[in-house]
Amino acid sequence: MHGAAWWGVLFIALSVTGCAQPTSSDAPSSGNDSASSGYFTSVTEEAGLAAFRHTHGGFGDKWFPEIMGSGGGFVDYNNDGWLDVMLVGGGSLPSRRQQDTPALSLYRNDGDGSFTNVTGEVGLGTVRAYGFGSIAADYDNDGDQDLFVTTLRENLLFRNEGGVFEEVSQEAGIADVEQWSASAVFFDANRDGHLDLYVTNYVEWSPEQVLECINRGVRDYCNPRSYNGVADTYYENNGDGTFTNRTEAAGVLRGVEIDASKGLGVIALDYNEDDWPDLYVTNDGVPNLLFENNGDGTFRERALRSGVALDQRGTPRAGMGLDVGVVDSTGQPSLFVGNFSQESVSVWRHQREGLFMDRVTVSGLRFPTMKTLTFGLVLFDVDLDTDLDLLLANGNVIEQIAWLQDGVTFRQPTQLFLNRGDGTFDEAQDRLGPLADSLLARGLAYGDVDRDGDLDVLLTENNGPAHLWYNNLKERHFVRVHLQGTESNRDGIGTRLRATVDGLTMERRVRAGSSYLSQSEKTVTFGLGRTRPVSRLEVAWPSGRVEQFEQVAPNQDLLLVEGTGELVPADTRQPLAGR
Amino acid sequence: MSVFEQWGFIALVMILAASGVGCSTDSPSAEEAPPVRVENSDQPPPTPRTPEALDETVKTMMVEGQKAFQRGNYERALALLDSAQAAAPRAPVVFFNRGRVYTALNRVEAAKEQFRTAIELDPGYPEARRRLGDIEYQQGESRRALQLYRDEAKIDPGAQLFVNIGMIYADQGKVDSARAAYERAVALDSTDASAHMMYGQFLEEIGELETALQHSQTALSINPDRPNYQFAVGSQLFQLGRLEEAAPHLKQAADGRLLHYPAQYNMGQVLMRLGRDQEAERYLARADSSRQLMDQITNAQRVASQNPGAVEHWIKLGDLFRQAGERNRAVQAFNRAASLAPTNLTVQNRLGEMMLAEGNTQQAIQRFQNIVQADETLADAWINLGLAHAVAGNCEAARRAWNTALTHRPGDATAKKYLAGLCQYNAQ
Repeated sequence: MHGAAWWGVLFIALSVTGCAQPTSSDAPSSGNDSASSGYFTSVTEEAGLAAFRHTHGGFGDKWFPEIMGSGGGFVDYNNDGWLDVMLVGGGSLPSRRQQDTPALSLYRNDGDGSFTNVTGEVGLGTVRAYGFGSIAADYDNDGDQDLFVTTLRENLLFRNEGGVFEEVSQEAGIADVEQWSASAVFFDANRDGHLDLYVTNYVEWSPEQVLECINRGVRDYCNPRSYNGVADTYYENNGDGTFTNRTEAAGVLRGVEIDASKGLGVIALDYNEDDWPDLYVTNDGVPNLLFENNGDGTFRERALRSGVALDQRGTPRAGMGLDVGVVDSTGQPSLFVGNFSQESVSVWRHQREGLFMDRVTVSGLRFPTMKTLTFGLVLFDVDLDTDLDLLLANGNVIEQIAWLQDGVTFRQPTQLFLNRGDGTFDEAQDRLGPLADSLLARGLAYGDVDRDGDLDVLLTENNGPAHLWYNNLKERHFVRVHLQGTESNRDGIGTRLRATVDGLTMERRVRAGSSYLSQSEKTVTFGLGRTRPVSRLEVAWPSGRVEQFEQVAPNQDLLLVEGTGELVPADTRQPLAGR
Repeated sequence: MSVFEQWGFIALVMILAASGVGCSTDSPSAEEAPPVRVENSDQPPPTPRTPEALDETVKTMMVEGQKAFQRGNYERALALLDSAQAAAPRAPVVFFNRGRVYTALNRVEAAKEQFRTAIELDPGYPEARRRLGDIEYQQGESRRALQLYRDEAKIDPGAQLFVNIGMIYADQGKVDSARAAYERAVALDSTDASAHMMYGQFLEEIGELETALQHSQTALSINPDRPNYQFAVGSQLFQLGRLEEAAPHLKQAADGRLLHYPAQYNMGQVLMRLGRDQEAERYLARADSSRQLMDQITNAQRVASQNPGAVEHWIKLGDLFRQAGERNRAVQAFNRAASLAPTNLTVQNRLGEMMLAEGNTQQAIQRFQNIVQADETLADAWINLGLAHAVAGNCEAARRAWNTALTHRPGDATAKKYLAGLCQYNAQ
């Protein structure tokens, strides 16, 4: 282990025979969360999502992939204006008896607070694979959301044809790599209007390579250091529904030690504001990577010199979920990364000329995140007070961690940190609601599921249920912007939006893929704090087109079609009654 | 303080790796074990008993035991303590120090038993509870450790004890209690550099960087020679954006210790931000090499402590320490190997090399001569003997030694190089 990197505790454990007792928080979650809280209310059961279970396929031998999955997220697959839920199922490990678990389950939002499992009817019911992550985007620009699922072997691409999915992985050219993949992003690397794809790959693993690791006399998951890393994969969209693997040509292998690349998270950003999307990749126990776009869809790696490869002491961490956003008045983006327990989250803010400054200490996040192992991580304006808050989905990977790290538990509560407006955070104390529940969380995504203007949350657990939490915000003032690209990619992915309210400028970007193995909604939400108009809204599309609007009235869902210069109501239907 | 105060090099290096600070050699090692009774804090402070008077023979044994321990010869230290116990069967100091030897040997259960016996023999015996608490803390038993520290505080309320208490409270997320403990530590001894440093680290962790810097600077003013203190001040200045001020502190730490990759990394980052890219790249590359070496050392320590009777692991550890420029620790590791296998000539050769490196030329010559007498075919020992003679200015003896090395290992490049270079020089 490097410093406090996560799996290293297994090695230490070999000589530790301490007798600390696990806390009550190690009791497994039933999926029936505490009913209500200050910030969120769990509606998993009422929504009809309680029956879902991620299955890790374990049979006692502690095969490494078991503990890492899986994700899910929000997608409006049928274009009815309501966010649906997709959940990655896990399933059966290779060479084991196969269970009847779909690779991906889809739950349709019925618009009345309930969801219906439509996995079978949309063509996903018969696809089997040991899945990890899922993202959604309109990669063929035909007006509907397609799905991409990372798996233990070949990844899966599902083309949406009028609300029914067809698995097109082979013909689209993305099933060429048989590796354990984790998070992925769609983004338009070369700004040709077609979405390209970056897939993180984790380690070389196969049933024939299973290692036996012992922890306190009991078999446990092995340290990822025991396995070689594998290179990530970059696909360029050919614009005809197919992709070309351009990993080498795009330069994402240059300067990267392949066996030291253990990717788990990835996000697209434009930290140097040259309008070309860059990439930041989190690795597990080896340095993170920052790929700066050369302006032509090729990249050069800059993480070490930029100060975002390692922690404050020059040590690699166990990087997992991540997000990026402008969290203060500097206008500069900050990167947030979830790490192992005893490492704290990472926070870096871009300063200038590609150099970042470590901000975890001054942000107030170091101390309160030392005991948690963060997988899912998202920045969004929970309380619609204009600034981005931070939500962490936590859960350890070592069942006996309570014996090994003082005060650390296997199952862990989700943490909400509210932004003071200046990029410093206070942890929200919420002992009654679902935030207090101890989970084995992995995926985390947000979206306005009930169409009330505030942002709700989806969490997924390893070998357990998914959780849907409604935001309890009573007073909501917002502007939400839906984008439809014409010259740019249809989803408007990569678009930068800036909203100015009373002299305060907020910035958001449209993304497909972030957090850990997850997909948040692509609609952009600006919290306004109180009722007041957005004095200026600027939308900068990947095509280079910039559209500006003045005095946008609050509490609206608006649609902007690229080039029309007109904001129109996104949908006339009403939010759920009572919400 | 106990007579055995120089132990714990393993712990020190682990602390350096984990925190970059390494404030105390007394910090517990990361490899130790299980439970102990919880003592009641509501009880009045234990009354120290009049210690059993030690006669001169026992005192001599104790002093010799300390020396053996400092050399890493734990077996001899234990043998001397056994002899001391035979002469003074109820002397708590014997049990206490045996506990420390067992701790160093990673025999933590046995160590705890010894500390407990010391306490039973003298409930007011200083430091025993703290040592016991250190082990409990390392085993994740922070509540038990806290109780032991509190009890120790009734006997010997030193600043370091409250630092330990502060660390536990911080671990438990009790920020106010931790702060109070650290405040107490620096109030008890405002000249305790380590207390200021650890308080500064705590304040940094909770985000109070300005105050953290003040305490780190106080620690540095008390003890300006510690690279770790320079690093702490430098890294806090860096985090505060005071790059020009940070650079000289980080440079001292980075250049002062080969293994200090956190300082080298931070120095690289500061220089990058000052626009000195080439220098920055060099420091970042150094940091990478140092971190890899540190990883190897950490791994070697783990292996050696898990296999304490395996000579080769201690030799490997010593070699790595030597490579890292950590001479004292290298000697300790080699001494540990020598105590396990006194006739192992590889170990003796390493110790001779260390003597030579430290300038103890005559001792080194003697050591190498002993080795080649024991096995005249050891080319490496002959080469070293020649080198030692050369350093002593005896070129002819050096030439003889290197020629002998070449008879045992014909064509040896090192021997030939020395032979050619030095004697040419002397001939001139």
